[in-house]
Amino acid sequence: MGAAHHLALTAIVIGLAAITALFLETYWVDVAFLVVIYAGVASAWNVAGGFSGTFSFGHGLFFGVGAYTAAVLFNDWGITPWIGLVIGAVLGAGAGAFIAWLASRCGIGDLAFAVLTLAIAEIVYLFVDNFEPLGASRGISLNPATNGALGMQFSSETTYLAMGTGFLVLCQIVAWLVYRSAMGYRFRAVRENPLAAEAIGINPSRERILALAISGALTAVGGVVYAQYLLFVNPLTFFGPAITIKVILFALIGGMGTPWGPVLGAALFFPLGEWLRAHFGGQLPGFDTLIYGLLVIVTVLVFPKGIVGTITRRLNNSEKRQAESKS
Amino acid sequence: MLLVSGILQGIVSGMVIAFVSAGMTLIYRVSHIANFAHGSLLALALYLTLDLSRRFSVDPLYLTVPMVPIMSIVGWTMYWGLVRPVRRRHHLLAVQLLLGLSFVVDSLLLMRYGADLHLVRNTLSARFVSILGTGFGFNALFAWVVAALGLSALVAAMQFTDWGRKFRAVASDELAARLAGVSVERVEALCWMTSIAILGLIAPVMGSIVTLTPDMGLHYTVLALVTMIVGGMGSLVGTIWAGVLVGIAQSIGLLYLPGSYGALLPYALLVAVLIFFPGGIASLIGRS
Repeated sequence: MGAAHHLALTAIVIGLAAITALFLETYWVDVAFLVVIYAGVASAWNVAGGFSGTFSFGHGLFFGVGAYTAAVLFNDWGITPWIGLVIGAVLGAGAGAFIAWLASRCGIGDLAFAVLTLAIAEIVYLFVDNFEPLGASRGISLNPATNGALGMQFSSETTYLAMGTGFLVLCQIVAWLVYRSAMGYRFRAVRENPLAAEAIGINPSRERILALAISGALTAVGGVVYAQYLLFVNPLTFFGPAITIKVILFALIGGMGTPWGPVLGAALFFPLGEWLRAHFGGQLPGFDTLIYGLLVIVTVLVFPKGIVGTITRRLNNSEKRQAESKS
Repeated sequence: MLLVSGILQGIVSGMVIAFVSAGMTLIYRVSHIANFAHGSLLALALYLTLDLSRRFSVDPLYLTVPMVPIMSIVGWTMYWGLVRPVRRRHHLLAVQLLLGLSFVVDSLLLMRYGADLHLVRNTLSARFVSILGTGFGFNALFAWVVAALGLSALVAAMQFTDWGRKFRAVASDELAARLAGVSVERVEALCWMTSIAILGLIAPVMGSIVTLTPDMGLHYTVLALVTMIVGGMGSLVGTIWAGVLVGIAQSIGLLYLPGSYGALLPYALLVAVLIFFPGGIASLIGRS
């Protein structure tokens, strides 16, 4: 995928967000905001899980770290969330690097790594859920800001959507830069075959630490933006396992390892889930998630490499066939 | 004294955890797949027991008889219908598929039985016995007995039966097993059947010691995953020890740590085990 391609897709995302903001009801602006947040975090997950094969099942940890950092800095110290966002990202990166470092010391396989990240995220979740200074399970409500823009608090949904879209664009720029750079090639080498990568002078632990640090930083930024939208942080929403599961599903459905797959997955499946809930959730609780689960299963069976992965592969194959038939 | 009763309770509840996790371990060993629907299938078995015992007003304990074959069929269907098509592909694909299945099971339970809490009562409920100053419900002890017997039978079957030999052959070298004339798919299907049937065996007893909610599945999936990894990824004996350790961690956490801080002790156990003994308990007791 060339730079032009990438730019065009970014423009489409911004365009869709603008159309939603200008022409659709508030409900859809809300949905669109959540889509861009989930898409961004799914893309961030993809940098670690998709590019370098560092499967984290604990991304809620980074999300929560970002949200809580900015919230505490703002409420207790009066520091603007714009700075909180940077500090949150640094802490997210630190947490990611630490977890990957810990795992590299153990020398464990993919599944054990995934469950290790899940366990660490769960420990932090349960800790925050009981820790009174951070409001325990009640969470923290953000103080109203005197200056809206400086306090990252806006009166209109549209501004939040713009900020969320900015977050998604940031994630896509980073993901694309990583994907195209030498680092991206090293990540893929580690993903495909860590031993072979090591043989040609790549240090798999170092690459995984780097990948999870980048991913953690981006996810933390997403957490800050989402917290400012809710004006409230609590352990279940931010540290809980729900966000991790959703984000991984979006990335897998859209196409793990491709820069735009996770975005597509989130853009298709999140509104679908919301629509199902709005239409069936009331009368028949459970029906919406039933359909959702069935769709996940069907998508896996029809698009085993994710939607983007499977389609690009088919296209490439047919191009090859055409080229062969011409020659 | 508190410590002793904490450990005793942990051993009793831990054996049940070990039995549930043993299915996860068996599946991981032959199919190299983590069954992310394991907890939801346990929930399914528990709710089916509840439903059948209410519908036919029989004691849930007798329902072991129909539940084992029912859950075997579920396991068999799952293998041929869902797992087999993706098993040669990326292992995350199976995770995704099984997560999808767990959503389906959880929502079916929510639709059919509502979000209320349930407890399956049986003739042993409300009877207690005191061991070393610790009170135990009859059901908890009975569950321990069922789990301990089941696990012993499983370990013995693995060691001494034809099924066990075929199973170990597939687990250690699939290609060699295939060349030696073992039908790998059939062994795998049998393994999924056994692992899910275990849930049908323990559910009628377990229903009276845990509270049923439609979203309980994920919790048990994670618990079984933690136990499997603490046990050393694929070792049955390791899983048994790990289950008991996880059970003890749970009850000690409940007794000694304030609030619900205790709930994080099993996870801390996992992190500690992975840091100090990455091979899990299996590497300590020299089993694989």
